[in-house]
Amino acid sequence: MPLVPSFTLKLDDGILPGLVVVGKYDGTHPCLTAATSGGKVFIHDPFASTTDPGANDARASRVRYLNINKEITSLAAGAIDPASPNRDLLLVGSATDVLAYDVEENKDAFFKEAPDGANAVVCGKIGSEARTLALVGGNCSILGFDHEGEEAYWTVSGDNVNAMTLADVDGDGLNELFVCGDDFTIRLFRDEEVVSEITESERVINVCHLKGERFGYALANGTVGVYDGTQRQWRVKSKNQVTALCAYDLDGDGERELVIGWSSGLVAVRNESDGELVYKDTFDASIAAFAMADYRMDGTTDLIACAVDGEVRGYRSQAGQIETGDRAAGAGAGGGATAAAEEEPPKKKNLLVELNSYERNAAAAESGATSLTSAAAGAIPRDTDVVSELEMNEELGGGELVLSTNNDAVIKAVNMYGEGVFEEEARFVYFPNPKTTARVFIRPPRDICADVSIKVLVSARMSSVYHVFELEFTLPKFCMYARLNAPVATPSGSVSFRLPGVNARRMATWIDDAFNTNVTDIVQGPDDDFECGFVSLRDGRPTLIDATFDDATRGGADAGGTVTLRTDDMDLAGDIVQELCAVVGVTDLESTCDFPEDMERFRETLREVDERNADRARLAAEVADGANLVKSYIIRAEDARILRDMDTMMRMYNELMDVNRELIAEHNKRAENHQALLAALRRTNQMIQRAAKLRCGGAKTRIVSACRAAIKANNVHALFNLIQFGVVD
Amino acid sequence: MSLSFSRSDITQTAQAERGTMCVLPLGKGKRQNKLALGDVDGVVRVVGCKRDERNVVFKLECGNGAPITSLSCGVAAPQVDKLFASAGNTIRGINRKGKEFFKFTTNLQDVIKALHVDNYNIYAASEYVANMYVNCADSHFFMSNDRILDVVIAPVILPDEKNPILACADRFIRVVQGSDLYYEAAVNGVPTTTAMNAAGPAPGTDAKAGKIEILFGTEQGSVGQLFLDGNAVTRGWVIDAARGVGGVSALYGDMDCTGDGNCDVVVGRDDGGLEVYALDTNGQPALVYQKSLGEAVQTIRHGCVSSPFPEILVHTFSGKVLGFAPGSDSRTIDGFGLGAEKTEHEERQDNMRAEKRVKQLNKELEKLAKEVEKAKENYAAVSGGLIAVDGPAKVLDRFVLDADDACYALSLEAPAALFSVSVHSDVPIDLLDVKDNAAICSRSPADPANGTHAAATYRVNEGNNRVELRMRAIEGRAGTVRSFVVPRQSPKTSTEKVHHIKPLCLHRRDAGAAAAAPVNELVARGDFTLDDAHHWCVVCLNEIPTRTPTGVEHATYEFENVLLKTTLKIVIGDGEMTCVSDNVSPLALLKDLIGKEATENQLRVNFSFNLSDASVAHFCDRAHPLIEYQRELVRKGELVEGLKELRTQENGDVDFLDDEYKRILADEAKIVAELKEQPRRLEYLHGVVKDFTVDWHKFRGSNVKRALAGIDEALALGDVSRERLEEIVSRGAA
Repeated sequence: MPLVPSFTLKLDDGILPGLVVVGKYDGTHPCLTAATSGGKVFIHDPFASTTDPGANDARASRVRYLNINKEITSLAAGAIDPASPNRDLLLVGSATDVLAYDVEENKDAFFKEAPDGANAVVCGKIGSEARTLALVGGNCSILGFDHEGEEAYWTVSGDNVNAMTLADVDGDGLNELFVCGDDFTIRLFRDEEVVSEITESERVINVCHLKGERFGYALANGTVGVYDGTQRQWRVKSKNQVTALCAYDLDGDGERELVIGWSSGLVAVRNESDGELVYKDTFDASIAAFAMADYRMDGTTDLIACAVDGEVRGYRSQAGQIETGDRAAGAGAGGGATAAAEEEPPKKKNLLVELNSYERNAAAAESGATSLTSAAAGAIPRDTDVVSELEMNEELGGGELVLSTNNDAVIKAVNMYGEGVFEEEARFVYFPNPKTTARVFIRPPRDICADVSIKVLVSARMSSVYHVFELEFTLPKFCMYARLNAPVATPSGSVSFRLPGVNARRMATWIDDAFNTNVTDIVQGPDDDFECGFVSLRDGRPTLIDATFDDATRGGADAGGTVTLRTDDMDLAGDIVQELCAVVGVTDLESTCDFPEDMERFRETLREVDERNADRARLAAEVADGANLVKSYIIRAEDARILRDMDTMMRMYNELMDVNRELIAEHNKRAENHQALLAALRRTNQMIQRAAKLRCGGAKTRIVSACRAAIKANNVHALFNLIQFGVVD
Repeated sequence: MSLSFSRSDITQTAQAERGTMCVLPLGKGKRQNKLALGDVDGVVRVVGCKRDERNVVFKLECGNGAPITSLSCGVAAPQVDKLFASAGNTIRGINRKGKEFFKFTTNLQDVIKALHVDNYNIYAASEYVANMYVNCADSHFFMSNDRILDVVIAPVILPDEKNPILACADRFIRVVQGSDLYYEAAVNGVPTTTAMNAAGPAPGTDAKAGKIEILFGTEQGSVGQLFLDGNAVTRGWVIDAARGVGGVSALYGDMDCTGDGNCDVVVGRDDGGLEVYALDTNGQPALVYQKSLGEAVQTIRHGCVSSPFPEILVHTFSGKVLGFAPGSDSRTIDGFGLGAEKTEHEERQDNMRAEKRVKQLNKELEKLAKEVEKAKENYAAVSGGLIAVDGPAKVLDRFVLDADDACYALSLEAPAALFSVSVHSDVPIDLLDVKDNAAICSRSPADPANGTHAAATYRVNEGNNRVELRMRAIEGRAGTVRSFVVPRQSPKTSTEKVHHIKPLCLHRRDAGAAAAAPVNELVARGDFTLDDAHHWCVVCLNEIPTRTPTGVEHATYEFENVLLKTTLKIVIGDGEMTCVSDNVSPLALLKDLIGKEATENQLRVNFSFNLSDASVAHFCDRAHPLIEYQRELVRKGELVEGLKELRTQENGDVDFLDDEYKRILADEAKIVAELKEQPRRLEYLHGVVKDFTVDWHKFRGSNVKRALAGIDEALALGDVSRERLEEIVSRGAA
């Protein structure tokens, strides 16, 4: 069903992807604001008075430019100043800072350095914070600024934050924050606490809230989908890139649809519940961004789609305009009946084919399935079944999926789909010499609990027709860790925690599920202490689990066990803790840890941050000196020129050239220093994140905020204590 | 002139073969035709439309489960409303009431592909044979050199005696008189379809009066016109195939859509294209309408089926029957409206009807879904795992060399929605990106040790039942490409399609390929027969007839290399085989393969060759521009981003730029698309150069394989001039 825009605009300037916002800077009139190339922002005000003196051209006066002079990475508008609660301020983020600009008054509200960068900015209220904040998502961190630029919120996220969105998910009147980033995760923050976390198979580049716990997301590999809480509802994948995402009720049925903008210029509107395509429209250029605003000021919020070539189209919700046609008609909701009648839905054809195929098969089955003709058609016995099993193989450094049939039928080829398990979405293996058992090598690049859907092509020998067996296989999260058979040197790092309400059997069952092993064999009673060891098939590093349990007869609410994980891989330890807590239902977990190698590296990192910061200050001073020199040389050279003292002028300009060269060199040094500083800061944030991941629930949130405080106070000792023991002293 | 058509879906049959739809003549006092349809389940049905209802007049199971392969009405006056259908080698006559009144099992070995019944005369053609029966007795028999792809019956030589006109896979249209070939006409592609313009040549073309006008469509996508009479063939216009179009799978030339008194040409393609060409006053065709149906067009006819107005009728591979009636905004050349203009009232009525129809459709769908559910339950009771015991639906496949891009296009189409297509190759091939492909490709790692040089899975987007893949093969690396098609619905059966890449895979038959300047000759002599030599050709090259030509001493095949545009001519006979080319590589490949084949069959073969020293220069003349073009393209591709940024910085003003850069900016989209579609093409071309170098020196008795690494480096340095290239090749070292 094509989509008919309610208005279109063609702006003269290109629009950078993702950098569009509509703000009411004077409190009433919405202005489309977008970043264009060359570090400029333009503001298109459709209601600007065209009688401005000096404006020859009505259109020109509607567009104003702001020169930011650096690469703009994010754009937002919001009424963060409590003094004028109706007027939006424009927030412009770059790689190093955030500028809040008052468009109406033409002045800066604040300018703050954001060393982690400002990849995404949103304005709004978060959690229990009463003020409207500008939330800035950067490299591993999220900062919240109030109208004076004071830091009012801080937390860490996994990697580069790509997008954020504020929404009241649980209906308590307070906003939660969705954050998605380069670490493949979508997190939901309530205040500073992560309340839910979903790991996807690619970098998550966009997220938007639909209703309740439902939200849409987009990945860097062209996947778009919807989650309800932590359950994925649907997803679709395309070769193109998703460049914009938003939720808008276009068909007016009261439910917001997911609107997706693609690099191909396609705008697709999909039903949020089942992903069915309801509308589409195509632009000539890649879609840059969506915005929602009452842009014509007639009381209705329009959906505004902008393409990178400056084309803007507005769409209006069709509430009450067109009756929602029957979706089953295939041509799409909201369609006039005519379109549906002209082209019969493919559904009918597919149903007919399916019906026909059942009937034929039933007839064939009745007439004796093993007759000669059907054998020629490649028929296999009717009771054929295919089973799958995962075998880990230390020598191969990975696992083998073993598929086998229960009779003479052979496996000719296997098609496997699993996000994040293979190099690409699917793997196809063909067996030139088919046997009844087939082995497929699997080596997931990361620890993920992935569902692999397998299509096994089975046939009688010497036949070119195959039956497709469909199997689902769940790859255990820690399947790449094989059980240790011989004792190994104990790893130096460790984390210990107490698991209330968990007995030995529960713990062993969890290990079996997650590690694809059989620890339950060595556990007899519910209070049996046990030890088991694993070795990573990727790098050969060992991990030991040492669990002791309270006497089963003691009882009591806090009866449980104490677990010590010994590994040198702090990330793995965090993953295990998180997974364990999630599965056995522990919501709050405090732990102590000791990772000497990581802590030593962290100490180095902190030192580097200090050094780089010091360097930065020094370099900045040198630049100022240089700038002064430049000024004086220019003045002297120009003076000389006026006095026609050509020799001096030449000398001065030569000097100037030298200074300029030095300045460029200085700049390069500064840039390099800045990069190193960024990397160090990023490692710092990651360390805090790692420390947090060794805890759960309240303890986790506490660690993050306490670490931030310690870093601000430059209290390294406290920081180390926090990471290791969860307390300052 | 503009034409628009409004599409209406008339009905749906099971999957259909070509030529299994025909329009019954108008009944007494009726304004709408009834339509007869055959399908692969062996069902013939006749449907009629009354207002918006589609009624099945009758449905007759007459193929005994075998597919209906042709369906037509009788030609003689008393038979015009009788249907004749063939399934297997049996012909059946069906009357208007749906009763079988005639059954005749022919002596043909293969399935009857075309059928023409004229009173007591029955013309039936199968794979290789065209037969004529009089009173069900075999009276004439003609065996073609290569597969017969389509047949038209018309009185070419004598006004009251009909001749079969055969479109044969060896690129000939043959006219048969009795049991003998009367004459044959070479055409510029593999003719897959023929159609006759019954009205005869357009008025004003007096020279052609009295002749039979035949249209033919080729696998390569072109359409042409021939005039036949007892003396000779006269060639009419040819519509060349546009880049990348599908092969012609249906053709119709008996309808005047444009209302100008001349018949128009309707072309259906196996990639779903439907085109209408109108003939202008000079009788030249001009495209007036184009549409993609998304699935192979099997048959095109003409009639008044869904309304009392004439419409184009299309039967597709999956069994859809569509009507295309001229839209209300269609105009003839002199501005007359073609379609019925609608008043507002009628418009409203139409809408109401459409709404009614949607409701009806939904009801049908619900009913069908229930039936499917029931059938599924029934079947589940028999087979718990819903394991299919019956074979799967037929998959339509096409594997052709795209001469423009020098790559192979593989298209696969199933009657129902596809889930995935997986490809496996036991030779190195490059799987190329296809623009607008409805499938997402995931490549799997190659495993040459176990015979996997390329493997990939294409996940098909929802609702598609057709996928096209492109791959680039290397000459000399012959092998097999297997594709596995998995449907979306259960019971799921997958079909394997096997296609062979021949050693000389980039050569295509080209009768007109003139032997260009340098002449290199390879002669094989020995105790082999014409049969053996023909077999060697079949092994090495595409488009060689499967049967050895009979009754001739020599056979000649001419080819063109689509990449380098070099030619190859092979003359085979008993005990001697001569191969002539202006390129050396194909001769080297042929020598290797003939040697191998001969040893296997214990035949003694001696080779003698005569090389022209001008070959190296000639090869460089051909190869260098290709390499240079590709290198330019890569360079331009690298510049595009930077130039684009400059343009935006300067607010779109690029006047200050060099003309060359302006051109790059103007072609920006094309450059990027071309680069994306042809990755690693430069390496591929370098491979061609290296192969030539090795072959050239091998013929001259020296082995330069060791120097290849050096050559590679020299080529990779870039900026190799035409002279430098020649030097590298002729010295066999960098």
